[in-house]
Amino acid sequence: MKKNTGKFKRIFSNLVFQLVLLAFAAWVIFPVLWGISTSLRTFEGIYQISEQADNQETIADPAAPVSMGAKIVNRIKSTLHLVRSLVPPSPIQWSNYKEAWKQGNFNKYFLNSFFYMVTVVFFMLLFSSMASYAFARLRFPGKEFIFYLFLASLVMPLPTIFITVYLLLQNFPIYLFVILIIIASMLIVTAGSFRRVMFLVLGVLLAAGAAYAFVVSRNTTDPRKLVELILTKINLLDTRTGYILPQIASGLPYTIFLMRSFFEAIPVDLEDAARIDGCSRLGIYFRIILPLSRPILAVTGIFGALSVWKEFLFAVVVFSDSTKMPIQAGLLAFQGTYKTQWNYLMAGVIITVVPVIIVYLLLQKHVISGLTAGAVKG
Amino acid sequence: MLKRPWKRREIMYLFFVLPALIFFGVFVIYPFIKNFLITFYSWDGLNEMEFVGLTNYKKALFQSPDFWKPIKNAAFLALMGISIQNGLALLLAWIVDKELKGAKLYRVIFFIPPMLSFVVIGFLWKWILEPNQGILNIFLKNIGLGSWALAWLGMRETALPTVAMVNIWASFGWGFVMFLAALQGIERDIYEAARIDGANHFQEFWKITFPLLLPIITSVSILTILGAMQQFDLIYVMTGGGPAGATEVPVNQMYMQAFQNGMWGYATTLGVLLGGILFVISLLQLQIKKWLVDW
Repeated sequence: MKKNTGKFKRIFSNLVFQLVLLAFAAWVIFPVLWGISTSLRTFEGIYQISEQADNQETIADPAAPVSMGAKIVNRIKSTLHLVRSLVPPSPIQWSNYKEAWKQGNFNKYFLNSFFYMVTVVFFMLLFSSMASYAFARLRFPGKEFIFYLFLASLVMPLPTIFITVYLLLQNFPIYLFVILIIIASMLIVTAGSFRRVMFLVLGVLLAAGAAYAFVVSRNTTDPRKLVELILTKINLLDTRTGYILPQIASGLPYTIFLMRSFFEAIPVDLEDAARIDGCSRLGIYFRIILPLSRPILAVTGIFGALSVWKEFLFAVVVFSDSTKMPIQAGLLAFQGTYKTQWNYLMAGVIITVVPVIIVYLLLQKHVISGLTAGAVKG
Repeated sequence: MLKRPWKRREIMYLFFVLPALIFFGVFVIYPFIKNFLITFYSWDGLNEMEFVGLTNYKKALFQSPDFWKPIKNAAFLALMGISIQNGLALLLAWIVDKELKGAKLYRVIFFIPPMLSFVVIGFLWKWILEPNQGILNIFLKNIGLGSWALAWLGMRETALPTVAMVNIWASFGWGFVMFLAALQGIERDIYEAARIDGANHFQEFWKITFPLLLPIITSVSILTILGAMQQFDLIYVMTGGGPAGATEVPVNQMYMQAFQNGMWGYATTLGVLLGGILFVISLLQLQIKKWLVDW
């Protein structure tokens, strides 16, 4: 007897749980479905529902007394009718997508966003994996301090400093670029060997001297001109570079934290073996660590790509030229042109949603494990 | 560790960190410091900067509602976030963890909104909430609640709660996934033992699950607060801060002060103050975690 009631209780509670899940799943999925439904209607079609509802309203609320039961039946009927009309009426307007794609310039926006995604994620992964490998394994001067610097960045998020980043991009000193390029080339050429670095530094100095001599002899004898030339500032606003660079920087700290803990878990023996075989540190990093860390690269890469795809604040701040905008800002420009044409706007929205949903469904496991890896551990 | 002079090799290792550090220094640390310095000036972005001392701070903190009002609105979003959003996330994670039928499908569905951008979410909901043609109001009229069919985003009283609701829709999936992962880390044996002792679902939840999840609940709550305080996209798309500033949030306000009113010094001041608040909240997290460990 007692066992039976327990069973009943369990069935009952399971039923309640299922209902709760179902209700919230409906709540989550409805806006997307409704967007799709709207996107497949004609412009008149999106107003049909409200007109029908208004009609129902006038029929359902006559001055003459109607019995309570009839009223309720009426309500239920009209609600059912409403539910039925959520499905877009035939003929289904697939052409809305074509139209939205064409008029919203989605060709351009997709390409833009794709380009931003690839470049930002590539550099972010490269820089942060190198840094986190060093933080995880190597001993070098200033390690603690630099790590805490990255840690501190979590309390200086981009939305609080975007105004100064805007100012920086407006007057961006070229020599910073030069420094970045020199460092990158040093890394690639030397592959971690001290002697080769010294050669490279020497080479760069010689080249700089030669360039200096060349410029001085050609233009002017005034070295001040050269300093001016070096300190020239350019305007990176409204350029793709200006949009990409800050995003690489802002993605670094979080990625470094995730990767560092991953690298710490890779057995040291592997590296030792490679080192005995004469592999340099950078060689170890490229040949052993990177191939092993494919899972974490995938996870952080997906998240980086997603955040670039969703990025909006910087797009609004940096771009005024709509041909370079990423897809989210493009969507906004699109809305401006079609203020009330909700069917086109929804088609545009769904166009931007579909690739994300597909990628999410395909890479679901990576996405979710990446999200939880950082949090549950910390 | 013993202090010993650095080997050449070890100095070379700095090159591993350098690219990241330079990028980070140029685009995060330098703007952060510069941001702080500009707050002491009055500047329209074009002409000479004029040193004004603490005037900007005085104005933001005491004289004008430009700072506290958006903070209050953002705090409202944050409060709704930690209470309703995380409560909902916890509830759903707890149920899905029971591995009923279709649990996997629900897990996929509940994480869809975090995949979408706030711009997309803003448009989807704006269309649902549209006063005349929006499906919500049509539905309300249809079931005889015509008087409830409001201009949700157009009225001062309803705009902020409505945006908060959309924000909850958009973000509860994060908490859900985190909680679910933590729940799946709890040993099943504990539940079995409790069940044998005759514990019902609610006792099971309050006596076992909740205490075990407290650390992750703290983390998620802090992240929720930080996210809500920095909200911009959703507001920009849905209300633009209106009506009459009812949904004004800090980042939105900064954007307006700098790019529309041309008050750069003042805008950066708002940024520094917001950063200060976020900093305090982050410190709070560390402190709470410490308490939890002690306890």
